[in-house]
Amino acid sequence: MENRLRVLRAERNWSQQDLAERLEVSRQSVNAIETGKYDPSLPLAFRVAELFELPIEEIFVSPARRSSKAI
Amino acid sequence: MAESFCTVTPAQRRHSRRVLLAGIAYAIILIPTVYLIRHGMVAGPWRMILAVLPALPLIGMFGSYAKYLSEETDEYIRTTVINQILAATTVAMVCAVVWGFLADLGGAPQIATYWIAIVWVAAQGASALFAKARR
Repeated sequence: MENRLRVLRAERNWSQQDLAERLEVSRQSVNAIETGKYDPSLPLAFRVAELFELPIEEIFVSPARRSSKAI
Repeated sequence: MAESFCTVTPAQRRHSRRVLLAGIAYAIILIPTVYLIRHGMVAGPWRMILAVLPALPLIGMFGSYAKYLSEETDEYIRTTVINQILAATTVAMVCAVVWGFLADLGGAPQIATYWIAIVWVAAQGASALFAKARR
């Protein structure tokens, strides 16, 4: 699933490790989410949204919406 | 600041410690057990009891995987380990079934079933290395 995690992190000048510590997950988790290798659970997605003070859909791109835009 | 390539979670540290202790216990138990049985120093029900002793640390090691999965709070790491366990189980079961038919019908020698556990552990290790290389 595409997301804006890397951009939001860069805007705050946070490293992956900084973000991982704030989310209480491993750095590998942040890397896997950023690169789209892993889709976070709903509770973790909410934690991400709360940390960046944004709605979930402004961070994670719905695969359905992405494919409908492509059409 | 340079970021470490791979962080170890507290649950992984506890699991590694438990597996290490199980490995040490296995080595300590195995050598005298094999010696006593091979030299015919125990017989009857005591032989059966003694023969099962080396299995206990290995059972503990498998139990440690279950405890680890219940303790791991990092969902990505937990999912990765579950995938490794699934891959290892598939490899071990395929080997068990293929060798079972080879031994029963193909004339291959019978081997002790604890080899299934050894294949599982080796496959789990290989799967973990593969996952680490892909990151």
